[in-house]
Order: sequence, then structure tokens, then C-alpha cells
Amino acid sequence: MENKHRMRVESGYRRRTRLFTGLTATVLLNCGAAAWAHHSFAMFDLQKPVEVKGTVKEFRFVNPHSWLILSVTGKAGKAVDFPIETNGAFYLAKRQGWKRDSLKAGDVIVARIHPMRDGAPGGDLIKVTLSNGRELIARAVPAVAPPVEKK
Amino acid sequence: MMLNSSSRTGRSSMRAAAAMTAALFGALSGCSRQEQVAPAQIAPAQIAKDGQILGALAKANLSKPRPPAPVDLTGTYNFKVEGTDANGHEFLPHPKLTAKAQAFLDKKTAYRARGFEYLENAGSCWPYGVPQIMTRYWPVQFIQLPTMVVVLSMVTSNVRRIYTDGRQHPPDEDLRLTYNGHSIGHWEGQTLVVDTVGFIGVRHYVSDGVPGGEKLHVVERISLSEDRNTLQIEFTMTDPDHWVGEWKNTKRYTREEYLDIEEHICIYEEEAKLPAFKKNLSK
Repeated sequence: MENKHRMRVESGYRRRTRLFTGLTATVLLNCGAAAWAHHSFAMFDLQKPVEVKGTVKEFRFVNPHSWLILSVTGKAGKAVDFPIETNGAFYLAKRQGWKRDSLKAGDVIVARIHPMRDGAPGGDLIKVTLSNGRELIARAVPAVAPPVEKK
Repeated sequence: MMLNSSSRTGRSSMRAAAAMTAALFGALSGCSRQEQVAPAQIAPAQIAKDGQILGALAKANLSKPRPPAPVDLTGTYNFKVEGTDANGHEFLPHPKLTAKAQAFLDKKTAYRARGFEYLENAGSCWPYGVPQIMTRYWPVQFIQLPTMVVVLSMVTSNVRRIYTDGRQHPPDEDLRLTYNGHSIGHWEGQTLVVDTVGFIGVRHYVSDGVPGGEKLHVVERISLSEDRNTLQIEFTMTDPDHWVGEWKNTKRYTREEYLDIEEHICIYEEEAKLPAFKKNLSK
């Protein structure tokens, strides 16, 4: 599902506006709250992940959410803070093998995220690709089941 | 004593848990074993003085002769994802909702369709409360004592106290409303039947988008599978302000022997830094 909609943003992030299809709206309606995620997912576009490249400014490995702030070069060449949230440290450690120092300030990474639906900077982390090519998975399963699998 | 004779496991971790809890119990109660008595001999929780009910961990309460519990629920359990919703954590399908509850759900759904959240609980650091703390992603721990079962739910570091010392719910004027309610339990065969009332009705949800009010009444029938590795809770819930009749749903949990609960505290100012928070109209 994600590859089909893959959109790579090599540097910076791309603000996007678009109309939602009935199908997309239906999926979001049914899956507004991801129970493991501690809060609603209504504000993320779960259907069209994007990739954001930047430098880790801050990483907090805590419950109920871990989060990081990426410093991303915007269109005007100016660094912009791009906040990304993800699963709690408990989940990342127990299920995905993350460590407290998996991400450090200064690391240059590519973050694959579910972006904000309104195009604002920010998103929900799916995985990180470090500069050495190593991947850190944040979400083992899609935040919602693909439409074809829904009952 | 607490880990009773019906336990069929020889797991070292269970023995360790038994030893630790026995030590705690011994220290609190000053005794190391309980004598078995017939159910008819069990007195309700004692009134100690000035109308106060003896505390569940009072020495006199812990040391009161009681029959051993038929099952020891002590353990760490992970919610088992089953059911018809995407995550299996909600109580689907819904019963017939009242007009009031349906209107709320419709409003919440409409907000989500536009990428917003309406009157969310956890995302704004409000408590989930019962029953939702029993069905989230994070594990739960049961610690069974002679007078109470303590349930630790990792999500937002919640604690439930289920009194099994024979006490009843307080009279209405003494019932202080909470998100987890007031729980009392008794054994029916191998099943712990837990009755919970006294809920706060403000931003308290039974299932995603369906409110629970002050009339919410939750009955849980809690049992262990024969191999003691699957915990099952049959929920029966009523709230005439929000749905019609009984709302029944069964959830299952897998025993985890290599897992503990960690601190999980929601801090409003920290949540406010998250991208999702900016779209949460309930803040």
C-alpha cells in the first residue's frame, strides 16, 4: 500500500493540498483512533506516506510517545523544525529493538512518515533510514488495515 | 495462601512472584498462611470504628480466615488483538445507542473526517478509565491478594483496586466518582465476577467515541484458561443514558512471562509538542 503511493522528498518537505476521495474519508472515519497509539490518528494522512530528510535536533525515547525534531531545509534554504511523533519507548524497545541512543542529535536521517493531512510540518513515524543505510522500524503494521482487508 | 493450591504451574517466575508477594503479605499481616473456612463463615468486611471499613491491607483484614481463592490471577498479560475493528481494542459492534450517544459519535466522526479530533481523552492526558484501560495496547498486571485484586494497567500508569474482602459498594452519598469506578469482586466457581459503579461521566468513553456516564455499570467475568496462559474477561455493561440494554463483549489476554510494566505518564505540556496535538480540538 505504501509503495504504491511512495513520494520521495529528498530535501525539505512538500506542502500538499488535495481533495479527499470518499474511500479515503471512509477509512479515516473507521480508524480515527489507533488504540495502541494513545491518541487519535485522524490528523495524519495514513494513505500517502512521504519521506523527509533532515538532521536530528532532539530525540525523546519515552512513553506514551517517543518523538523527535528534525531540522529540515525548507524551500527557501532555511532550516525548519519538523516534529515527528512515534510509538512509546516501551513499544519501540520491546517490538522493534530500539535503544535509547538509536537516534542522536546530529544524525542525518530519512524519516518515512504519515504526514499531517493539512500539509503542516509534522507526522507519524513509520521508519528511519540512517546515513549508513540501517533502518529502524517504528511501526510494524500499517496504522490502519488496507481498505481491501477491512470487514 | 495467595498463590493457592489450585495453581498447576511450576514456573520459577510464578514461584518467585508467590514468594515476593508472600513476603509482602507476611510483612503486612504478620501471618504466613491462611486457614480454610467454609463460605458461610466469611463475614463481610469489618466495621472497625467510626463507621470506617477496615482497609484492604489492614492486618486484621488480611489475616481474617477465608477460603483460598479458587484461581490465582496474578500475572502479566498482553491484550490479544481480536474482533472486527481495525485494532481489536474497541467493543464492537455497538449496541443500539441512545440519541444522545449517537449524536456525540456522529459529531466526533464528522470532525475526524476533516482531520480533527473532538473531545479526545488520552491524547489530551485525560484518563481512559474503565473499561478502556483494560483493552489498550499496553499490558496489564493482576496482583491477587486475599482481600483485593490490584490491576495495574500500563496505559497512563493506571491502578484498579477490586475489593474481594466482602465489602459492598458504598452508599450513593459516600460514592466518590472516578474514572475507574468502585470495584468489588466475588468468586463464582473459577470465575472472578467484578462489579464496578461510580463513574465520572466527563470525557469518559466506553469504546471509541461512545461515552459512559454516571449510570455506567460494568460487570466483568474474569477467568483463566485451563493452561493458565489466556485470561478472559467477559464484559457486560449498561448505561441507559447512552445505549439500550446490555453491551456484551469478550476480550482475551495472553500471559507474558518475560514482560513487566513500565511507567507511562501523560504530561500535557509534552503532548502539546506532538504534531497530533495541534489538531486536537479538545485541548
